[in-house]
Amino acid sequence: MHFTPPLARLIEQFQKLPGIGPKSAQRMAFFILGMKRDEVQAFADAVIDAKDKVKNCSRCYHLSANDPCEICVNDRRDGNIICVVADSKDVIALERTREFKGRYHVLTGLISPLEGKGPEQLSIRELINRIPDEDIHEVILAINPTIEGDATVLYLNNLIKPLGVKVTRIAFGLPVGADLEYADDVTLTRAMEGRREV
Amino acid sequence: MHARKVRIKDFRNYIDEEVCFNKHRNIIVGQNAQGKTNLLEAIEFVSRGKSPRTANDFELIRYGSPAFSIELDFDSVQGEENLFVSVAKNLTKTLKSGACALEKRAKINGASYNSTRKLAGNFVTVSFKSEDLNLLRGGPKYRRDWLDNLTSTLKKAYSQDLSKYNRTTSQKNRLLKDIFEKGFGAGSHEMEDLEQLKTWNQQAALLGARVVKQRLAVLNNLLPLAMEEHSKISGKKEILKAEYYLKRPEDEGDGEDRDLEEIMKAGIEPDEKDIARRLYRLYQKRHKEEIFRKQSLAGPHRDDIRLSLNGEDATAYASQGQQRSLVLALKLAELSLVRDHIMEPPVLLLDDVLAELDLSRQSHLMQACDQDMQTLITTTHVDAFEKKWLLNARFIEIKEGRAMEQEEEPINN
Ligand SMILES: Nc1ncnc2c1ncn2[C@@H]1O[C@H](COP(=O)(O)OP(=O)(O)O)[C@@H](O)[C@H]1O
Ligand SMILES: [Mg+2]
Ligand SMILES: [Zn+2]
Repeated sequence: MHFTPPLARLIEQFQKLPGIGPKSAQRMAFFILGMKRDEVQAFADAVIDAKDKVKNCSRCYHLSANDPCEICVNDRRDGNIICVVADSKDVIALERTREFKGRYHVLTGLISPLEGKGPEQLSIRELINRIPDEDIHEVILAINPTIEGDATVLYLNNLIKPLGVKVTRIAFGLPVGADLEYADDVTLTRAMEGRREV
Repeated sequence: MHARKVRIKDFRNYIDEEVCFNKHRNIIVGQNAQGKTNLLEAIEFVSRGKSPRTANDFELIRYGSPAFSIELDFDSVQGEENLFVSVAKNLTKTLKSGACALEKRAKINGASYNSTRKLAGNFVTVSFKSEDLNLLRGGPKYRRDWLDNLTSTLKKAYSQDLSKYNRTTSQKNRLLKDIFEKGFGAGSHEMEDLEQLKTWNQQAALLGARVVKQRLAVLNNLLPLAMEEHSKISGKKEILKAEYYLKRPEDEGDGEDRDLEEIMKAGIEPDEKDIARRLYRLYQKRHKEEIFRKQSLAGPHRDDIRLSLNGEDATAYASQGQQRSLVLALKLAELSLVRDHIMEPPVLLLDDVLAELDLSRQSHLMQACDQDMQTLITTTHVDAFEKKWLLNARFIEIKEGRAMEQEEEPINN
């Protein structure tokens, strides 16, 4: 006995989503069938609407319904300093802190040969072009310290340093105010290795 | 440190078994293929968060079972402690490689984690297996694995550094393969590819240097202790030296690489930056060869450690007896290094090794762990042991994955 074709197709679609196995896909499909029709319509409209309207900003590659995005058109932001992140989600996280007043550049991923990602697949060339075009003085790399993150930082540093622009990387380690007891051992070891006189 | 009780479920050929130990000598007897090594492997798994025999935890699950678990009660200077680990097949998910996904849980004194690597460093063991007697004669991988194991016991961040280096090398190897397949020299992305390769070379050099530096630091601490142990065993004062070989691609003999000094004498602490620079230059200079061979040809994954006695290469010249004395000396030095580091005796696991040693070497080993160290010793028959080492020992017989205590001996303090 199989699910009737329209239901089977819905389950199949849900299964395409990351982290969703056959069981969860079934649960979601059944949930949809239990919803009111106008709720389902709103759900489907939102999916299409987001797909149609949200694009990478042609300047910074942040996801936005406007091009250029809200951040790129905001004149009150410092246009000479740029913060480079891997992903649009990172822009949102950094914006929440309200610490950074410059502009962003979203790489749309990290260098990873194992996943078929090279510099050509990322917005690296566009970043390099922005530096003289927008008279950038400082580039801040807000990239996670993973293997692929570190390699991407090295790659960018190799390209940007010769342009005579200051390149910095945001610090990682113990979060400020974090309880030492809850920091994991390796983080603590690193913190001890990197300790400085105060 | 003493193991009090281990409970093993569906691990290798064990179904559900509880084994208690005494604080000193525990002798695990059984014929071949009954589960003696499996029992020690279970204990090493909770000790290191991984098996010494396989990198694939799937193999550890008893054939046909969905999951294994190991629980260990032990005493340390901190008091009574408890470790738990379970590895379950996740039947709803398959990995890209087609292998079955595994779900791992660990508990350290009740606190839960979803990675087994967290277990490392809590219950500390030193193991000495009969295969270790081939340490000097075997390929370089034996010596690297041995030194890596010891270094991760002594330096907490080391396993992470090593796995970062290994991941970097896999990334670099994939890039080398991609460049090779595109046809080196003809591709439109040649400049970008070489720029990217340079980045991975930098990263491999930086991480590789960190690995090499830590290995050397441990080797340098180990050597004087090993030399002392060795002269006790052999009755002669012989000079023990170690050299760390930075592997490089085959020399073409053009003398171009003279500046890349390939051997580092243990005893001098090289500068991490210096090793990194050296490795990076090597990678850059030989990049064509690496592309052609589609793999990284130098770095800690190819290095070797050579030991010499009075200037003679221990691998090539020492007799089998001499080699055994040297391995034993290294192991005894390892034991005292670990003991100093954790500030209490670790638990010594001896797998099939005692019967391989003659009576005099046996007694050197047994004396070193005589006082306050717990030992778990496996053997197929006890008659190879000197009688006095059997006194006060707890005997555990292993037969087809079942453990039977031969003589009741309550844990006495
Ligand atoms: N995953 C597994 N499930 C069931 N049995 C296993 C598994 N892995 C190994 N074995 C069995 O364990 C036995 C070997 O045990 P081992 O501890 O190495 O023997 P020994 O007592 O000689 O040290 C073999 O009979 C082998 O078939
Ligand atoms: Mg065995
Ligand atoms: Zn923008």
